[in-house]
Amino acid sequence: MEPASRTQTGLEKPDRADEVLTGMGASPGNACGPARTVHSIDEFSSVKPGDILVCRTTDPAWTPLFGVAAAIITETGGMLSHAAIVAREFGIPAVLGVTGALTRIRSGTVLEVNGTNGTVRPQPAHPGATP
Amino acid sequence: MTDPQQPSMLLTLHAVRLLGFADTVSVAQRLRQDADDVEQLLIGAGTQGWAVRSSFGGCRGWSLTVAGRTENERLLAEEMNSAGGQAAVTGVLGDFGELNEQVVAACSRLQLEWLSVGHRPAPGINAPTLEAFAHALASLTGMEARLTAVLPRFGGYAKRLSRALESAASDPAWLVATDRDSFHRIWFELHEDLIATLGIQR
Repeated sequence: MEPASRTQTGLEKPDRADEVLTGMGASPGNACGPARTVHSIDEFSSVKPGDILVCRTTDPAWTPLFGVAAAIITETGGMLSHAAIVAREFGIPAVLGVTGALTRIRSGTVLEVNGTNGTVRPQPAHPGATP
Repeated sequence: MTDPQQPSMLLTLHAVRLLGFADTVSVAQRLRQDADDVEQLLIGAGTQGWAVRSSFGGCRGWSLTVAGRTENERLLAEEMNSAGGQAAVTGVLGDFGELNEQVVAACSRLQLEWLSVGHRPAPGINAPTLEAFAHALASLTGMEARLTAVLPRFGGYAKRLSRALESAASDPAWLVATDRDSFHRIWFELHEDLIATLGIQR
């Protein structure tokens, strides 16, 4: 059973009624995959190929994860951050500066990340069922 | 500064932190320690729960745990107390901040230009870009002298940056790539070194 404060799509307290989270689109492109929230280096082994990495910030220890993840979402940073530069080098979409991303996104939720527009939205479990 | 350093847990944990994920030889080379000694120190760190050896993306290497970062920071604080370099490193970090803004902006401009034309760079760097990186290198050289006066392990950044800039003349990927000792990779490492040394959390 979902906590009362969460939506059924896995995004908590979304920015808008259509449940889009926004940040700075710092590395262009689109990607879709399951979210993986990572709070510290001790959780690196939980990241699997194709995951959407969700974290607070990054430092050099996080660079190898960029080669595994399909996209990255951070709570801090922007166009000129180290994370943006590394994401562009790996050619993965990055949406940075998403306030409260670690608490608003639940691991396992399938997300669509648009690194060009800076948007993050849950992918419907049954796409045909949504309006 | 090319003399080998006396192997220590401080240098070993710190080298892993700066590199993020690296094999034993790379960890040893980073702060000029003997590889056999470093292997033993890393095994000891693993026993203590400070470092783990794992495979990642087809490579096998060492990374720090949260406990390892905490121990690294404890040892760095001891080092700082012993060297008395707090004021010098704090001053350099202040100067680094402005330079850092210029470097990451130059890196981003380059990448966005390459993305807009849809392909990786051709040989040659335009004059304004070259000037931005050359200015950062020149400024960093003086800052490195201030750092090594109190903490000799900071030696080598300017030399590596100079090598990266030279290589970028024929292949501009040397400015921002992650698969080599590029200008941005070295710069990112230096940023981490400064804030770790001062015990600042990102």
